[in-house]
Amino acid sequence: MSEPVIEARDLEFGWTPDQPLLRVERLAIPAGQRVFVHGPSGSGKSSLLSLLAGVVAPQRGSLQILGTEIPRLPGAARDAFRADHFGIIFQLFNLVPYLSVIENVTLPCRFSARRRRQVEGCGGAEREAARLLEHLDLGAEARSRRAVTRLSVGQQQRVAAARALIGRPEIVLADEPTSALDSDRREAFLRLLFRECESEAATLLLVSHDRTLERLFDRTLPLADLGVPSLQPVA
Amino acid sequence: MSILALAVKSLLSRRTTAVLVILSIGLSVALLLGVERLRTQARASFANTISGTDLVVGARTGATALLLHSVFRIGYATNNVSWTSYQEIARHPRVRWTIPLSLGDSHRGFAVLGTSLDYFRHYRYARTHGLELAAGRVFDDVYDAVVGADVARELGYHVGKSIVVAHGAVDAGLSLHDDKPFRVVGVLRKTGTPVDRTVHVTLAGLEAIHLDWQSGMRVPGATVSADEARHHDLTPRSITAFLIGLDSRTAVFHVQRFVNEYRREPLLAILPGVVLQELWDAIGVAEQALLAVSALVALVGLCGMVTALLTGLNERRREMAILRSVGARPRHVLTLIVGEATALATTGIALGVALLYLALVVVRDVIQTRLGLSIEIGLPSRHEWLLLGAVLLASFVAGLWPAMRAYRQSLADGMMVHV
Repeated sequence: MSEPVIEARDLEFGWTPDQPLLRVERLAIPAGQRVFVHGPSGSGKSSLLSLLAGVVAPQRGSLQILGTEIPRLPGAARDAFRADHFGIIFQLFNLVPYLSVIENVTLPCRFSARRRRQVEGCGGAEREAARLLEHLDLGAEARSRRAVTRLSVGQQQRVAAARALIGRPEIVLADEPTSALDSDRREAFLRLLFRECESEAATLLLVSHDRTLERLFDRTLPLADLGVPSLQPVA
Repeated sequence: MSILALAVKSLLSRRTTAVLVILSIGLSVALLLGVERLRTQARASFANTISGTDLVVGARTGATALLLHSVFRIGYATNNVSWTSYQEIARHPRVRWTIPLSLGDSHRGFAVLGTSLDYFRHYRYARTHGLELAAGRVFDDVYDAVVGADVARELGYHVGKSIVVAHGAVDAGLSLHDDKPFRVVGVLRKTGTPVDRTVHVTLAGLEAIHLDWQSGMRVPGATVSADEARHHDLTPRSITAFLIGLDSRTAVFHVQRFVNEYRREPLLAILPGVVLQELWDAIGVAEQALLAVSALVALVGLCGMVTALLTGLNERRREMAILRSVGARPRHVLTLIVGEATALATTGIALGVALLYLALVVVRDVIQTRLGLSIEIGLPSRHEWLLLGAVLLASFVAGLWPAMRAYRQSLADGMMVHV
């Protein structure tokens, strides 16, 4: 098995130092895996994503992403690292209202030189965005000049997926991306997301409280709902 | 596309607010520039009233009073300069020319000035401009009059018109020198100075109409007709003041001392440029206040901008989080907001300049005729560029406040905002 994309040891994090909210003894996620992070609200799911993306720093422990010890990086370098290697999808309101569909998708290429270089091989950011949108069944929306706020929630989430994937980041983090969708739309969205993650060779971490989605993933990381949650060592 | 392009798009999405902010900045900038321009034009026009004259001499009084009276025809002299003193000073070796000025009478609200032909030869305004005739000629006969441009325009006078001079500065229609009318022989071109509002007559003519007058009253029974007066000695006994041109500027203080220490009668010689400056400094306080008020208006415009940016921040937390999630650093967020402020201010300033020029084109004629101020529609002066730069800088600094707030917000929120 190849080097893990994400590797954590004895990681501890809390918004106040003496009250740890999240403890991870050992975690290793190999490249290309689809991981379902499950837990009720308040169990530290969003904190885990913030930790992984380098938005917050752990109180102790080690966290390596793609072989880089993230907590040791200075703030600006962490921002740059995130821009280069992560695609992020939120629960709702993923799009910048004053930008077009294409402009929203190409947004990461403005901030990351690495992702800009990646799309240059595919004929430029806009062509790559159009291609991704086409794959996510948004070809017509990509071509129209319609305001992004006029898109349906499902369409908006797919635009967000395209933005997360553009420029081939190694890791896609999704924070409850399906909670605003109808139940029959959820699976369709996930299948599209999986397909694209696979073709872009991205590792996917998806946080949700909805257990019905669990069966679609390679693996589940449960976050306990009481006390100090802890991620148990998983094979 | 840079972060500034993002700023512009973000502004375009909030068009109504942006337009209102731009409008308020534009109007305040137009006001600021307009006041500044009026101020400098008024100052220049004031300083241009008299040029090339080295000294103004009159009976001893205040320097300002002498200048106001002799140059601006405001107020009146309490004492005169005797003709012999005038002649003696005029013969001083360093004096190149003199212009005698005799004031006190009026014609329908305009000052009547008795002078010599040297007036048309040597009087200068606006640095080097001499007096020019729009029609007719200068004095030839005792009863000839040359009127200023405003006199001709407002009273509808032209060459050949016969006019009557009233005794005293106020024309009450009671004490008219109606037995000896003057004839308009020339009309001067517009100068933008008090010359435009003056009726010029000969010293001899002024002497002639006062032959049968004493202490402001007609002497009963002693009437001298206009033609009889020609045979009298019409050399004036005194004049109000006179202007001196020297052979060299270096002699100014020497001749000034000579006049001030003149034995025969108490006289005062002033340097018109210096007194004009003093006078302007005295009335300049009002002008400074005007500028301060318009600067405050510009400040209010900028406050409006800051308010608009600050109120927008809360609803834009989500937008900042999205930008952070795609790799925008906090400093990008800072740049975005400051960029928006600068874009608003730049557009506002451009609008303000456009409004100013539009207003100048519209009101220039009105100002010219009503105030006698000639407004030049030229490129912004260095000082005006400085003012515009100051507004831009102030908007940049003002934009830092909401920007810092957005910066701190985005640091605290990271990218996980739960709205």
